[in-house]
Amino acid sequence: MKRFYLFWAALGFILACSALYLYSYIPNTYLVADQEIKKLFEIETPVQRVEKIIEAAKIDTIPTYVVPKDTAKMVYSDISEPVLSDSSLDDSTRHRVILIGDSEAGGIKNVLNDYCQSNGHKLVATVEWASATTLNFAKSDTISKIIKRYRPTFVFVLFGLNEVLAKDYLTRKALAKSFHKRLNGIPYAWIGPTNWGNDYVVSDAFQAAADSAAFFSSKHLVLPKAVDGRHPSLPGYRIWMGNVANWLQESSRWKMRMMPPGRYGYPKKYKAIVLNAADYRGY
Amino acid sequence: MQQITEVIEKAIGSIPFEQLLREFMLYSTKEPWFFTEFSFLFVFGIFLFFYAILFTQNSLRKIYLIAFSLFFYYKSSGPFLVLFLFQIGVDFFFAQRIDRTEGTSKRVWATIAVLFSLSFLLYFKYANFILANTNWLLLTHFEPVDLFLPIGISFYTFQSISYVVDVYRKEIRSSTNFLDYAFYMTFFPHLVAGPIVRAKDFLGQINSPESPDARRYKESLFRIISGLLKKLLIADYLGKYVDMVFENPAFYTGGENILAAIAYSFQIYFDFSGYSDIAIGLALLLGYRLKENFDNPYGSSNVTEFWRKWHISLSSWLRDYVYIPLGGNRKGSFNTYLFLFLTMLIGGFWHGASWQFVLWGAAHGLALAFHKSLHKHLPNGRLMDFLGGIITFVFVTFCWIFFRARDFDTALIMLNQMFTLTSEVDFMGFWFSRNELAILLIGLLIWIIIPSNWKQKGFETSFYIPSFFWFIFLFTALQLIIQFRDTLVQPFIYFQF
Repeated sequence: MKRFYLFWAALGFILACSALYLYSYIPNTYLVADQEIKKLFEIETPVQRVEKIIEAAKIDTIPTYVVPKDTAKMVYSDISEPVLSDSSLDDSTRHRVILIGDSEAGGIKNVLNDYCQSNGHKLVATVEWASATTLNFAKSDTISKIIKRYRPTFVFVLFGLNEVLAKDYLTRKALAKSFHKRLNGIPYAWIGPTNWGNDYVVSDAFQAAADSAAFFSSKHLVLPKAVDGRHPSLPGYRIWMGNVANWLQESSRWKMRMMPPGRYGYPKKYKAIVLNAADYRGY
Repeated sequence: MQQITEVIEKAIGSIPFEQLLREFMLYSTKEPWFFTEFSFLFVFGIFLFFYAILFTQNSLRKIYLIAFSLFFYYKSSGPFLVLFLFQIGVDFFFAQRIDRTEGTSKRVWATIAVLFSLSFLLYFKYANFILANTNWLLLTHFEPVDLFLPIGISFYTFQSISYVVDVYRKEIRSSTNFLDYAFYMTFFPHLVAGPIVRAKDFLGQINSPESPDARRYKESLFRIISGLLKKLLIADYLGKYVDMVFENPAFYTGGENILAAIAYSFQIYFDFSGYSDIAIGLALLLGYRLKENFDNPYGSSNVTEFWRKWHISLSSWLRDYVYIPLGGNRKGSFNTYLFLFLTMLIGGFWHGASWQFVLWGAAHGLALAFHKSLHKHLPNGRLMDFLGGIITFVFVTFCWIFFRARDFDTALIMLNQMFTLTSEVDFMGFWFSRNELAILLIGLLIWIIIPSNWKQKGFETSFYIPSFFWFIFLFTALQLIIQFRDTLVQPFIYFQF
């Protein structure tokens, strides 16, 4: 009897799986050829630490009175329209789109609606969760329910403005990964927060949590600001959306047709859900 | 080195062993245990280690394997384990009765045994279908029953029927050892989604498993690794696009709908043949040989050949226990066609309690009858085989639309899109917008054209690789799966049947 092979196979399964399990519990992440070696699972933040995170999230929330100086002179006409690839014109997929995000999502929703309608997509619902952070999106099942309710084929995600000053990379990444699971495998475009110069870790944390080429970092964009000094102005949102649309057609993981709309102000047929984290934290 | 040790020590220290063990021992309807779960592969490794120790102790080995199989079923179906055990016990009793009696009483016992096995399947799988159709026909108002379909019931019911019928036909003697029969029924590699194993093929192996050697070790790992890659990399990747289009076919062009139907043809094949590969590989590692369930079915040149190569354990079961008892080809041409049609109708209904499955079965039944009536008049040759292959693939793919679609309306919308809104621009758009998927589909189409013996040769050549490297292959395959898998692993398609 050559039972050696049975023992050898048993050890093979045990060692291979143990190594993968163990790697999931190691806090560091390693790269091979610039590619992150993904883990079997992400360790969920223990329940006892939630209060700590909530406290951190409160501290990180941006005060509204800060106005970055470098955007003061910008006007819409200075920004050229995105260059579109010919290939993207051929895709005729018509999506059921939902938009999920914080107050910046609330600002961009009408522009997105124009893009969707002029390209044959249908924006079915928007979730504008003002003052919300990754914590709200990750911990609550609100988003899962909304996704189940509206059955989108494509999800736009836009939040992070309220936590650009956060420096706890690992916590943000863990929370972002928890949120990512809520997307349930539906194709998505995850747009990072913009309009702020001091994004310490949040865009990087989102990028690490998202699938490759599914995250659009907005850190490099300098957009005209609204009078509150915190959010982009309407031309700012249009420039932003133009860049996102360009990326969506040329290099995103899930490409979709997003030509510039011939006009703005399409009828708003979507369900607009407005929440405020101060009243409704979701978990 | 010290740093590595520290990191590993820290990682081990942060593993909540107690919590993991507690969660692992519990059954959850939301997280049934699949072969694709890493926790399964890890626990299987531990199980295999002790199995190796007990390998030469026949009774202990059997008890140990039955216990693990029952635990596996508990993790998949929870409390239905009790029902399963009850069915095994009663079937064992019936088979002994059938073996000991003759004449009318033998027939009566066999009928009772078959009806007993079928009763569970009918109740759990078809009760609501029967109620809904009764309500529609007779305008009654029966409320649907809240039922959970025990995983694998369609497979083990067919196994127990084949056992009872084989004993009745005197093709095998009833098992005198309850342990052997329980071993046959509960053997976990085939328990929840086949292949449907016949008692006459398996009972003889139970007490004399194949000796583990280098070839069997490599063959097993090859099957397990390729099965995992087929399911988790190819089928699940295709499933994303398939789900998207089948959910709202009206949102997509005709070309995209056609490509979604083709993608589903490959998805279901790689999903189920991947499962079968893992099952065959696991069984082989334990010393038991299960029959092949697929043999390059999309390379078939006609629909009859397709059914000889697709889900072989089911199609041969239907042939031996439905088609031949009905009369087979012994009662004239017309009856042969009728029996083929009825057999496939039952085959379709076996897949699920829905008229779509019935229609799917009926379409295949008609195609089989049509081919049987025509094949003698058709010319032979490679060109005919090639053309026949294309027609067969198109027909099978067309039928899959009804098999996969949510309802008839969705299937009809898809067909409408395909026949009225298709242009060559759709395919160009698909190529540019979903480049990876397009390349994968072309690759898979080429894969089905490659002759089976070439693939077999490649399979055999891999056995020259030394044993040690197979561990590296396993590890690399698992990491590859983690690297590319979807956020949520899709359950095996055939678990629902």
